[in-house]
Amino acid sequence: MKLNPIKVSQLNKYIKKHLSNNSLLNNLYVEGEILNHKVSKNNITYFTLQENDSCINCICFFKEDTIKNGDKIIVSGNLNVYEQRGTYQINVKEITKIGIGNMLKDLELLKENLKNKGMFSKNKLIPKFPKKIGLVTSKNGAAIKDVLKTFDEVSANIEIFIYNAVVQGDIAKKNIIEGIKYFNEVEKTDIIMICRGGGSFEDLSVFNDTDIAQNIYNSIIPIVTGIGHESDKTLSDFTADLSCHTPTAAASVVIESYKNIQIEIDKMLLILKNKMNNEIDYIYNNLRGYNYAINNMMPLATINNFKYEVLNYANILKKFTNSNLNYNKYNLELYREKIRSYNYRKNLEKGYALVLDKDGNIINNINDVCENKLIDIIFNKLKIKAEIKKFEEVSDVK
Amino acid sequence: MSNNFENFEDAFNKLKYIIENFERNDNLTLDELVKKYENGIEAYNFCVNKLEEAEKKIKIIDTKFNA
Repeated sequence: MKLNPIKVSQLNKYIKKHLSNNSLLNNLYVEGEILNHKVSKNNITYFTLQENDSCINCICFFKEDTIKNGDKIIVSGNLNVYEQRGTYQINVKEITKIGIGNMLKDLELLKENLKNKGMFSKNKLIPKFPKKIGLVTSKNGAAIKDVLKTFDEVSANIEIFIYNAVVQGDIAKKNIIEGIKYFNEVEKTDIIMICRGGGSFEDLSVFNDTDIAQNIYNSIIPIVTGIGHESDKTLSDFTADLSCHTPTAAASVVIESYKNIQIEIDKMLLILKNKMNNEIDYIYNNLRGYNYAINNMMPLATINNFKYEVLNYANILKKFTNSNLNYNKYNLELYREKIRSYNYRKNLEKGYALVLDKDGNIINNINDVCENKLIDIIFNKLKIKAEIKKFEEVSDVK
Repeated sequence: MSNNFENFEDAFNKLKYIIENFERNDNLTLDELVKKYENGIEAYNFCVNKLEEAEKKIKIIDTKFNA
């Protein structure tokens, strides 16, 4: 006998009705660890309750942000079937926190362990102007688009190498480690970026892998992570040299120095020119000052003063000499007249005679004469050579 | 144009160094000042040229991506 098929909606309706009538399912009390905790904009809280390999979705029609992924809790509520999707979930009425879940506990232990090994204190200098950038991400993911879009905002001569890696699931770990090694050993880049777009706690769990963390730690080249997580950092983030919350933020940090670079170097040019001009002005001003000082120090004025003084003296001297000379000239004239008046020839004209010895000396003293001495007697127009025969002293000739 | 710079970063850092030097007001002789100024201008020109010829090259490494 062939059954008539029922419709999906009929099945889901039936399941819902069946489960809703189960008193046990209407009064649940379930223990597990929180995964993928999220609060929507209209204050509805979603999370997954996990225990070993089993999990169940939970919904609270209230805001619950005191719990976080990994917390171990007990929820009370009832099972709720979502007919449209054929899924079921716990409609949570109350949450009781009973501690950290095993998964988170393990992660915390791992974190502590790596931290004690010093693996979280790596902070290599991120090159300001990376020329070669290695990006480990999926070539089909959202992260690559965000990163390249951010890079496009700057004008820079950069080479971007994208190591295509799966960033979720089992192959992810191998791929990411290979990517890190590739950029350390084969295509040596200035910086390595490990990026992945946003995802749930579970989606990002690969980045909590210790082998990846170890490889990030071992990298010679500085690593920046841009793993899209909203709350907790992954081990990869802790071991990286710099971690950002999103691929865009990571890309932004990596090319930060290229942003507004033109403006910055133009600013530097201006400073350079201003400084140069100022220095030259300063030197010029100093030179002018020195020139003034030197001119002031030069004894030109003093020399001029001296010159003037000397000239003055010279004038005075000249004046004085001239007047002196004139005076003397006058006197001389006077004396000449006097002498002329005393001229013996005038006396000779009057009839006097002049008696001279043979050497032309005037005889007017007894001592000048002796017997037989030859003498000259000069008259006005007559000269007599005579010999003294006899002489005597007279007291006064009248 | 001098080729004293290895790359953009090198030129940029030298320019920055000169500016810092200028701003610190180190006692530079006029000759040093002029030399540094010339070096600064060279670095600036190098940076500007590098920026003008800037282009991004993108290469995807896909070889090992199987499994």
